[in-house]
Amino acid sequence: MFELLMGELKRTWIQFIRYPAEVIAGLFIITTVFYGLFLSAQYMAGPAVGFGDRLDAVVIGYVAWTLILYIVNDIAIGLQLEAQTGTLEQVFCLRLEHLRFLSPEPSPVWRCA
Amino acid sequence: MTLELPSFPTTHFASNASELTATLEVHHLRKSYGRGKKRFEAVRDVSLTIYAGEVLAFLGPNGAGKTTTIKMIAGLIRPDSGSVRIAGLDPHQQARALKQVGAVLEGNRNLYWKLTALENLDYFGVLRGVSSRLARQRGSELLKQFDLLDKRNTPVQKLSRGMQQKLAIAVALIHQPRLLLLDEPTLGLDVEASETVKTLVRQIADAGCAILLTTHQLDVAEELSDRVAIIRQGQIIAEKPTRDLIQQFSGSTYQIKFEGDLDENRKQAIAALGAMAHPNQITFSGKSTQLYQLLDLLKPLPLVEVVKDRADLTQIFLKLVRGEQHV
Repeated sequence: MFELLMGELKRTWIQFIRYPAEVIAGLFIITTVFYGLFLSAQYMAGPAVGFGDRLDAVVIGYVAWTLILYIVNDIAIGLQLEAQTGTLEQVFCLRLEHLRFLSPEPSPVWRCA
Repeated sequence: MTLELPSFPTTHFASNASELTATLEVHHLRKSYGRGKKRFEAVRDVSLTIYAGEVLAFLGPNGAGKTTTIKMIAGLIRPDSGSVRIAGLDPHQQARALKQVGAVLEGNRNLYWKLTALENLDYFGVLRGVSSRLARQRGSELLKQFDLLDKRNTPVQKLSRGMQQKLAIAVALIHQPRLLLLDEPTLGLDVEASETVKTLVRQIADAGCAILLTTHQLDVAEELSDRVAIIRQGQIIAEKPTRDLIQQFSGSTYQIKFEGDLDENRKQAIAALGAMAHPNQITFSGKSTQLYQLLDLLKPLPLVEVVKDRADLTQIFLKLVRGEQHV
């Protein structure tokens, strides 16, 4: 079980870090988008409007909302991608005995002709 | 290329097929999709048996039910009725049965494209219960045997299609399964890569692994398979040893090509044997003893070739699938 967890973490980390330029570009784009959003909001509100402590709440709330959306989407996109590459079926082919409690039905249903 | 593949746990390999224990036994599998009027039966009463070291080509047109059957064998789809036994275990009830199965199913090579060849072998090895150290060791051996050792640290997306296919097969073998399911193993490969994969498949079978192979390339099936099962509209319409099936559909006509001209006496003698003489060619449909009399008549003309009409799997497949002939 522990080896399985380590194997999965290792795979996820390798996939994340394989192309460093991709990671750096992603971080840069997200930072720029958020920074642009705040600047735009401040510009539209004008200098007279002071957000005070509420600005922090708005920022944190927006970031949290975006991250949750990203996580939810990432699961769906990940599943779709793995189904396309055929790795999802490979993983389901294993049906590990010690993880059976996760799936009371012995086999997932795949529709195909 | 000579491969020394790891020996598979056959335990029951014997010279006589009837004495063998089946690696895969499929009995009366059925699967339907949809409800009411939209309900259709994708698989109807399919039964198959594969022994250790045997290659079964599972053929059929698109939508015939091949993939559904394979996925029921791999435990991915639950059948409506019928049973699957892999080395005596039911993959739908006993997860241990799936440890005996390696599969390269349809899809884009079944590999993680950002991982290197060795990382893929390591990951899938661990997933199949092999320790990371052993998986890397076996992985390196397989890469060496599959002529991919110099590509062990190359990400999969930078490998050619042929290399990806070989790697996918290597990944399926990392836990030394008794049964290998191959769905279209030579699809989209060039001639050389296709030949390499065919050699690998044959050598894996020779090492004792039972192989269920589906393909639309019937020449590949003819070359690789020991037995053929043809499925149409969810039903098996033929299942026989490949050689027997080809023999059954082959004619007994000989084409004899020669150089030079025949005189009138010889032409009459040839006609008396029931053969038809054309310029530089004779067509003969008779007993093989008469064939030698015919060849004697042609002495001393140089023979170019003597060919017996032989059906190929493509012709047989088309006849059976179109319902023109029954086995």
